[in-house]
Parts: sequence; C-alpha cells; structure tokens
Amino acid sequence: MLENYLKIMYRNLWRYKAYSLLNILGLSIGLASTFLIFLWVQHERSYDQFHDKAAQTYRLTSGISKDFVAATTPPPIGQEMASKIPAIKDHLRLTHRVDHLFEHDGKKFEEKEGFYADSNFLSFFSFTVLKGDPSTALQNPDVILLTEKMANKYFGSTDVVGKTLIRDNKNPVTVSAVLANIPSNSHLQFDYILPISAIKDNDWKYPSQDWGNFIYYTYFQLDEQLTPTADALSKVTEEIMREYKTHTDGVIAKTQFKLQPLSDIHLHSQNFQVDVAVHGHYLYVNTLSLVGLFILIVACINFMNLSTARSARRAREVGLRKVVGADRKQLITQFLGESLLITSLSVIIALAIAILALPAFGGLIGKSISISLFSPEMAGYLVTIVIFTSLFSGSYPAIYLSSFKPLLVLKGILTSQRSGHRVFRNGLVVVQFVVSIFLLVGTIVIYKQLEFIKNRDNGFDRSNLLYVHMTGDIWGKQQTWKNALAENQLTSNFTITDALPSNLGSGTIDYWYEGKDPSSELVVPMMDVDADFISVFGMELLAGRTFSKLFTDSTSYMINESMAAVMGLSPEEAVGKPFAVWSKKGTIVGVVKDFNFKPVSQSVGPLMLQYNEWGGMAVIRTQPGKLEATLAAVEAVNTKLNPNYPFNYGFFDEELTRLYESEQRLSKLFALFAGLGIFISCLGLYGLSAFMAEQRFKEIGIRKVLGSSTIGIVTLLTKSFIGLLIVAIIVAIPISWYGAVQWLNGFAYRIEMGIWIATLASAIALIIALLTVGYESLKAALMNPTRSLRDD
Amino acid sequence: MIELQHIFKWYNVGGTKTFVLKDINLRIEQGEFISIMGPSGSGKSTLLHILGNLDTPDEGSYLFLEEDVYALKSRKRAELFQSRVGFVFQSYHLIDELTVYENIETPLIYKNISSSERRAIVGDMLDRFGIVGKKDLFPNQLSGGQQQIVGIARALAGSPNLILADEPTGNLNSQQGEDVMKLFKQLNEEGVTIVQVTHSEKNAEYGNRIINLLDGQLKKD
Ligand SMILES: Nc1ncnc2c1ncn2[C@@H]1O[C@H](COP(=O)(O)OP(=O)(O)OP(=O)(O)O)[C@@H](O)[C@H]1O
Ligand SMILES: [Mg+2]
Repeated sequence: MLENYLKIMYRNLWRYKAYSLLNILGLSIGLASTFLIFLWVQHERSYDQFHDKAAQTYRLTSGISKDFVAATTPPPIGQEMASKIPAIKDHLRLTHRVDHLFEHDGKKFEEKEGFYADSNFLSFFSFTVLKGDPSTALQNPDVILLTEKMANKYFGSTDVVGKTLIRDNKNPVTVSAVLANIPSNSHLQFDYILPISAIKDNDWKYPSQDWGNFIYYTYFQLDEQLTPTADALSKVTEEIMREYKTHTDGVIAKTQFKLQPLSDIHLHSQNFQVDVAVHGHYLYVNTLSLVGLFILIVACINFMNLSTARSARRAREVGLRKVVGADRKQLITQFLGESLLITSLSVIIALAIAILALPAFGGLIGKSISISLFSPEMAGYLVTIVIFTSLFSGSYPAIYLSSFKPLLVLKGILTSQRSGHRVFRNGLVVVQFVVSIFLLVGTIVIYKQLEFIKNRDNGFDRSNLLYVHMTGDIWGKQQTWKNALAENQLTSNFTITDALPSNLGSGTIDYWYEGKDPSSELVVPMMDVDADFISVFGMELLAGRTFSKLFTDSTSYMINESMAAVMGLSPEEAVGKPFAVWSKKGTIVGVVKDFNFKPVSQSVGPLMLQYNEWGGMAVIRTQPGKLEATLAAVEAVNTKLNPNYPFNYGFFDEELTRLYESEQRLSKLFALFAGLGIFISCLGLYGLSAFMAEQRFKEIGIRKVLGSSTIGIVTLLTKSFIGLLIVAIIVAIPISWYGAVQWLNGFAYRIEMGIWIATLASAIALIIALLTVGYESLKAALMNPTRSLRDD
Repeated sequence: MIELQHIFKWYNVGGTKTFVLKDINLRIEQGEFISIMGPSGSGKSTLLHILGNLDTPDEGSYLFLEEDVYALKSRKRAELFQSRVGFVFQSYHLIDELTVYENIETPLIYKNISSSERRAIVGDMLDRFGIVGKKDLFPNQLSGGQQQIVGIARALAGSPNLILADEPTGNLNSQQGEDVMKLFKQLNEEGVTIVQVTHSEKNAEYGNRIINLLDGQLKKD
C-alpha cells in the first residue's frame, strides 16, 4: 500500500516536474531565508545571557534630563551603593575602552580593545577562563588578562600565564589569566583587561572621589531574593539617588539613575551617550523578525496554493480510489503522508541552502553565527513548520476532496463548479502580495532614508579628511610635530581637535552666561579645537572670528548658532558676551553655523568650542588624488618623531559611515528578503496561472477555433489576477505606510513618506506579477488549438 | 439482493424539475444476470450509479442485502458496498498515474490482502484478458478498448459479489466483446450477480432478464 502511495506521489511530482520544482524550491528558499533570519534574531536576543548571574545583573545609567542620558556613572558610586544598600550584593566598574601599545619579543601592536576593571571582574561575569586562577587574576596592579586571540597573537600559545608584555614601551605587565575568546553575543567586546589599581592618580581615568565625574561603567548584582518588578527596581534606584544627593549639590544632584538589565543592554541602549559599543536595535530585530515571519507565510502560502491546485488535478484519483474501496481514513493517510513527505524534503533542502548561505549571510550581518541543528529550539521550529505546512497543504485533498461523492468528482463538477477553494486560494494570493508590497515599500523607504543621511548637509565637507591621533612620544613633541606637518604642503591644511564631530557624547551643565536659568538641565557638549578647525572642515562662520594664533585665546569661546539661540541672542549679539565653562571666565569670540556632531537619529543642539592647547588628534584635509602621498608624508613624520609606536590613521568619512552600520545592514537585509519574498510570490503566481491555463485548456482551444484573438485570450486569463492584485494593493498601502512612518519616526532628520513610494512599490509588484501571469497566458493563447481538442 | 422502491431522480434545470428516473421499482435476486437497455439519455447510467452507491436518488428507498441503504450512516453505507461491488465505467476512469498492473491492483490494497496474493490475483487478471504485455503501460498509452479491458479487470480483481457494468463492451471489437460476455456468463454461473447496461441486443441475450428504460421509466416487456 505504501509502495502504491509512494509511486503515485513520485509520478505526480515527476509528471509535473516544473510545477513540483516551483513548489518545493519556493518552500525551501523561503524556509532557508527564515532560518537565517531567525538565527540572527536569536543571536541578537541572546546577548549576555551566558553570564551565570545575568538575571540579577544591571548596569547603572545616569540622566540629567530626558534628552541626555549616559551609560556612565561617577567612580565612587559603585562601592558606596553596594555597601549602603542591602539589595545590592556586588558591584563592578569598568573604564572607557582604552588604547595601549604592547610588545613582546619584537612583536608590537597598538591594542584598542581593552578595559580597566575592578578585581572581581572574573567572578562578577562568567567569561571562560582557560588558564590561570580567576580568583586572584586581577589582584595585583601589574597584571593583564588576555583573550585567547591576543595571547596567540603575541605568544603563539595560550599557555602563557606568568609571561610578560611591555606596555607602552615601558611598564612590564604579567599575564595572570587567559580567557576564551569573547562570545559574539557579549555586549562587552575586548582583547585584554587591566586592573583599575594600575591607573596612576594623574590619569583622567583615575578612580577619584569625584561624584560629578561620569567616567565609569558601573554594574550591580542585586539580591537573588529580590523579584525584579518595576516597583522593586525603582525602590533601589530611589535609594541610590537619595544616597547620591548626600555627596553632591546643584543641578548634578538631580541626576536620575536607572538600573538597566544586563540582557537589555544590547538591544535597548539607543540614546545613551558614551556607551561601550555599537549596539543592536530592538526595532531592527523586531522588523526583521517580522520580515522573517512574512517570508515564511509567503512561502507556506505558496506551497499550499500550488499543492492544492495540484491536488485538484487529482480529484479524479480520489474519486476512483473511493469507488474501488478506499475509505476516508485511508485517503487522508495517503494525502497527508504525501504532503508531510514533500514538506520534510523541502525542509531538508532548506537546511542545506541555509548552511551553504551562512558564510555569505554572516558577511552581510557582520557577525559569524552557526546553525546548531540539534538545539531544541531549532528542532521545535522545524517540526512546527513541517506540521503546519503539511497539514495545511495536505488537508485540502485529504479532507476536502475525499468528502465528496465520487461521482461528482469523476464528472469533474467539483473542479469546475465549486468555488469555495478558489476563493480561499485567491485570498492566499492577495495575502502574498500584500506582504510583498509591504517589503517593497520597506526597501524603498530604507534606501531613500540612507541616501538622505549620506547626502545630508552636515555643515562641513566630509570628504578627504584624514585623522591621526597623537600617541606616545608625540605628546611631548607636539610643536615639532605640528611644524613638520605644516612644512609639507601635502599635510599643511590640518587642524588639532580633541574629537571628531561624528558622535559627540558627554557634555557639561557647568557653563555660564548672563541670564542663565540656574536650574537649567541642558547638557552642552564641548569641543577643544584650534585656530584652523573652521577652515579645515569648511564650516561657516556666522559672526565674530575663529580662534587665532594671533590672540591669546585661552579664555575665548566659540559657540554654535543653536547655543546662541539658547542664550536668546542673534549670532552678532552673542559675540563679545561674557561666557564661562567650569568656572573659567572668558568671552565669546565667534559664532559658527550649526554643523552635525551627532548621528541622524538625534537632533543637533547647542555646542561650545574652546581653544585647544593640549592636543588630541590632527585632522588633515588631503588634496584630491594625493591621498597616498599625504599618508606617506604623515607616516614619515610620525615614524621619525615617534619610532616606538605603530602609525595609525583613519578617515572621517568612514567614521561617519560606521555610525549607520546597522541601518546599512538593515537596508541590505531588507532588500534581499524583499526580493526573495517577491520571487517566491511570483513562483506561486506562475504556478497558479499555469494551472488555471491548464484547467481552461479545452475552453481556450475551442475559443481559438471559434476565432478569438490572442489578446482576447490573454485578457480572459489575466483578468482575474489583476483584480486580486488591486485588492492586494488597496490592503497593502495603508499597512506599509503606517510601518514606514513608524520606522522613520526613529530619526530626527528624515525623508517624507510620499505617495510615490507606495505607488512605485505597487507598480513594481503589479508589473512583475503581470509579466509572470502574462507569460503563461500568452503561451496558452498561442498554442495549437487542435492539441487541446484532440482527445477527450 | 437488491430492491429499489419508488426511486425518483431529477435535476433542476432552469427552475423546472427534469426527471431522469421516475418511480423505478426493481428487484434483483442473488445470482441474476440482468441487461439494462434503452435509448441514450434514458437514465441507464444514472440507475447503475444508484445501484452502486455512487449516486443517490432524490426520493425512494433502496434495500441492499436486506439493509435499508439510505437509513445507514455514510460510513456504514460505504462499508456495505465497498468490497462487494465491482464497477465498470462507461468512460473507463483509470488512474492516469498508475500503470495497468497498479490500476488493477488498487482495489486489493484497500482489502488487507498480502502482497504475494495480490500479485497472484493481478497476474491472473492480466492473463485472463490477454494484457500481460501491457502491464507496465500507463492508461494514456492504451487504446480506448484496451482501457476498457483494464477497467473490467480492475472491477473483477476484488472478486465482488455484484458487478455493475456500464456498456462494458462499447469500445471493444466483436471478438473481445464476446469474450467479455462469456467471462461474465461464467462468473454468473459461479454465483456473481451481474447488472450490465448495453446497447447491443446480442450482448443483452447473455443475461437472463432484460430491463428496458425509456425516459427514466421502466418498460415491462
Ligand atoms: N448534472 C446534470 N444536470 C442535468 N441533467 C443531467 C445531469 N446529469 C445527467 N443529466 C441528465 O440525465 C439524463 C440521463 O443520463 P444518463 O447518463 O443516465 O443516460 P444514459 O441512459 O446512460 O445515456 P447513454 O446511453 O448516452 O450513456 C440525461 O438526459 C442527462 O441529460
Ligand atoms: Mg450512460
């Protein structure tokens, strides 16, 4: 019996080869896409869950106002709160990411991925320790924790506990432990950890008792017994704030602290200033989950549509089997079994596709993830899909067809007159195209928004800007360095600044001007720039002058247009007004037109500039086409003055682009999956139109014999599809409009959602669909009519 | 074995009832061999379908093996007919995706018959109808007559007690037709009840009773 079923299944698949291929391949491609998306989503959602105490761990964040929240906190707060508040069991501090030069045996590299941490780092978090004793690893100030990767880089082995590295050309540090490489789903990514006790007291990172200096990341572990309800957590933060007030005064005492769950850090850290890393975005994860779900729906619908269409062909078989003695149970077994088998086959093909595509996909998302085929989630997911899809596509022939009187089926009444399943199938086609149009709109909107960001007027010329940080000996030879750069006409167009205007974090509320509201909570960022800043960046000066070597500008300030507006002054009025920052009194000498110093998601606000006399980095505007020569010139200067440090540089343009990495990624993913969604929908549409044409084979033949034109027949066959597409367009436009507006609202500067986008998406869907259907119809219309009338 | 009482069958065409069968009363005893005759469109196939439970009348009752067919639930009804009736269609109705061999085998797979037994039965059928050479061909590779032979072989394979044959010889040459009739006669002698529809007086003579249909009504002779 089984043999008989298998044979007929195989023959049916084979007889309609192209059709079966469309069917199976459509489902496989769709499933493979959703596998990949869900792997990514799962990875994004799994951040920091691997820590044993993940559920009790929180990061303390601070906020002066709603618009200014930071991931950092003052150094003394961790220790103090942990000792005063019973609910807090443990605390851990990390500095900003630091940058050191390390050397071993002639191998010397600048390492930018490090932190200073408290000595309980290894017990607080659960990073895997390969070598060394975790409990004492950070006890002494002269030690270092390395990851496997960095240990291999310097020593070619991980068995290196007790060996030394030279830090910054002078301090030897001893490797006290080697950690396994940091999992990609950790929000903390680093190559090495140094103990906070190693920080000298003249270093700005030194853990002083300054309660107003927000320079550390502080993590807490709360009592296990505490159920982390919103209420319980806000009680803890209230205690923190009460305690904090006893150490501070003024506006800073009003700082709002919050406990951010460890597992939220990766996806829910959107507006924090000075955060540890580029984070993911929960909205993007949700969007892509939705896309994944959509593709799954489209692929399943497609499969069901094609399968039911095919099984209508088999109505006769069902009827005959009943006549010769099959009961319903047997028929249900046969057809459900058949669809179960085909679905399973598709799933296997899908897995193979997913595994093959994984490396490329990893490149697209910027992470390497692996498929764990045997995880319970994966198994659950696969089984659900197989059961759902096969039940749905198999139940039509199994349950619906087998319920009919055989004679009706044999006479063909069922397929030609019953309209129930046609309505159902049309409904599915509509859903499919609604989803496709939604994805298309998404693709266009994201693309346009990215274009908008790229071409946005930044208030400066972003191209051809090269930056070089001051490192090592250059700090002591600044004037010589600057002179050397100035001498060469390739590098002479440069400015010294403390930061790039790409994503200025931080800022201060400790500034003063006449008439300032003493309770103002406005945090204003500050840049330290030299005389050439405005000209090198190509910014526009609105009033007054820039800083200048000709003046003593150590107490001069420049502000931007917005800052002048905050002060209630026009640019011209602001010039000459007294101004002070951190109690350093001076005057405003110039007002610069607003330029961007934040990502497009945040609006540009007020900004203060002070004269840079201490250094930082040089930003050089290179002459077009002379980039190589300029780089060589800077490198020559650097190697001469700073022979012990490797030469490092970067491009400002790339720095800006990097801000939108996740948007770029989303855009690529969206385009890819929208394309796939439409492709799969069209496979389905193609199959369906072929099926309809086949069903009307005889009718078409007779009409042709009776003299109908080709166009007449094409119209006859495509008419019903056009109706369906129009319904799909009407449904899709408001849905995708809403989605697009929601997404765009996440940007302070954004494109307008225009009717043209919806129109374009609909037009694309319509054209592709018409081409698909039209092709089949034309083929049917052009066939030799005698072929259809020969038998029967 | 079979008792039809006041069977009516009609279709609503354009709002008016068109009767296909009108007040049919018919008794068929076990072991009879009956030929139904009548002009085209007189309702012969419809009657045969009703006898084989492939169709239901709009009025009337049907006793099959002393059971009131229309009082039974559809499951029970299907069981009652399933293994007892072999049906030969006027338009053959073979399964396109199965070979000759497999088509004949199909009724057997629903009957809990072991595969070796099935092979024996199908082999016997192929032999009896002289189509051994055609056993691996698909229906569309056969002539109309050959398809009809396969349809008959399929109906006989399940060794039914009742054979309902709708113009079984319509597409056969006279020699083949005669062979089939002889086979039917032989089966009938072995105790199988046979009801056939035919247009041929000669074939009708093989039966022991002829029923004439005219405009959906029985014409007693
Ligand atoms: N679905 C239907 N709707 C309306 N009338 C129908 C339908 N099916 C069958 N009929 C009518 O029922 C009548 C009897 O048909 P049936 O097939 O029983 O005739 P028949 O005696 O077998 O004819 P033939 O010798 O040509 O096979 C015909 O007149 C036909 O038009
Ligand atoms: Mg007939």
